[in-house]
Amino acid sequence: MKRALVGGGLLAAIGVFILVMALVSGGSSPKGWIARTYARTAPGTYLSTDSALRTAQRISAKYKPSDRAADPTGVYLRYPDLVVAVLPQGGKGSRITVDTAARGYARYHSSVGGRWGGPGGHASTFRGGGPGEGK
Amino acid sequence: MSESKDRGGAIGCGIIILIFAAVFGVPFLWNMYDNGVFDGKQPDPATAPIFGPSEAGRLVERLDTAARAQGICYGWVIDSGRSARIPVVTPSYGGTFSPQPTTAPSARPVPNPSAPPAPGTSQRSAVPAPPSAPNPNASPRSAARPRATAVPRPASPPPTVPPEVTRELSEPGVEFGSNLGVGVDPRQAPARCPQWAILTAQYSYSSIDKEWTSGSVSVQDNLGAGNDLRLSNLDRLGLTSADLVGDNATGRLADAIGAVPLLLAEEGRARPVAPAAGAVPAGDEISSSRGAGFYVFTTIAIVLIAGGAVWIAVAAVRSRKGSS
Repeated sequence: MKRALVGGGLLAAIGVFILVMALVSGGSSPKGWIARTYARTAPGTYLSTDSALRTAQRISAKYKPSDRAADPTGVYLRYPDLVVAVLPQGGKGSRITVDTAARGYARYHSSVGGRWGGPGGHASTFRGGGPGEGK
Repeated sequence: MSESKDRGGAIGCGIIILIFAAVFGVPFLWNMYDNGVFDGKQPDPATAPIFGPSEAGRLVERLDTAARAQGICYGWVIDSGRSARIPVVTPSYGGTFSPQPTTAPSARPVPNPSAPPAPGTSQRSAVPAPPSAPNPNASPRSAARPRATAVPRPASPPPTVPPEVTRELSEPGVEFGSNLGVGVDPRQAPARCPQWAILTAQYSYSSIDKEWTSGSVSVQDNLGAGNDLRLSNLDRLGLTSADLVGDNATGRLADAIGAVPLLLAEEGRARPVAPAAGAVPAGDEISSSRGAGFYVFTTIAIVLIAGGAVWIAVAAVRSRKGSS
């Protein structure tokens, strides 16, 4: 019985440790911080006085995204449950939108489609091939 | 008794090996699957184009959107450091998209190619050069495209391609493209692209490791102002030199190329590009941001916790039965 207690306890402890690590590694959401830091102009939309690149950099520095994409229209930050888009505002600051992952993907599909998802949720671009996929 | 102990020890060792295999092996294999390693025949890194059909098509589409909005042609020239000639990829475009010759830019006035350049500009097409030969790397698709008619061509002489551009683009290991398509450099079409900005990337390639070891990027343009964008500007994208050769280096490079119009807009040298609204194809959905590893590790954790609990419960039942 003692051996089972030690062995079973050890097994369960390893399991709990892995579970905690997996949950913690997911990162946290910047939603609250964005709401506190920037002026809200509409539900889920905020205004920054900084440029889009600087604003995206600031948000990324505070809350590390799981991926980041840039294209001519703006900078897109991906978090476990959110898509944050930072779009330029004609040289006067930038507009931040905060959407759920699914809604953000659909809203900015022309910019992040294929990269953050695809048919069946399987990303179809940047999946290897050339020399830039090493390390 | 001793035989039973040995058997117990062997089972214990087996369980430990299984746990290690599950914790380290399964996520590793899953990650390989997620990165497309099992998708089929892998291209040779020594000769594979940097951007595959989807990536190249996507870049052309995004740059086309920017070119239409800003009236500036955008392109990329990548010296991948490889000594082989890299085949020109045939891009795959979404929907009905097909790159069109740049029409008269609507966002900015089109300078007359025969007129002297505006103060501060350095029109490369002004450099005298012999008429350019057809680009051997141009894809059949780009060759088949109709020519622009919106920009009036000067009566004489027709714009020419500077020889240094032709030389640069014909070097082995060099890949290029633009909003006009893959294998088409804006400087090759000065009449269609009176204004251009091109991201140039230079990589060092290790033929032993078959990967890039270092890389740098810069942006050339003929927009005047005399302040070509440099890597210091690209730092604003959150990019570092390490990113250019690290995980998903191709994606980071595409980010740098795609962000040039954004950088110009932020500097007030072009108008911002609005995100395009479009329907999402059926079944196209966002992948899980947590990655496969999260689910694999969570499953392993639950199995371990359940296994430990069952072990203790079985031992407790046996112990109770034995004592009674």
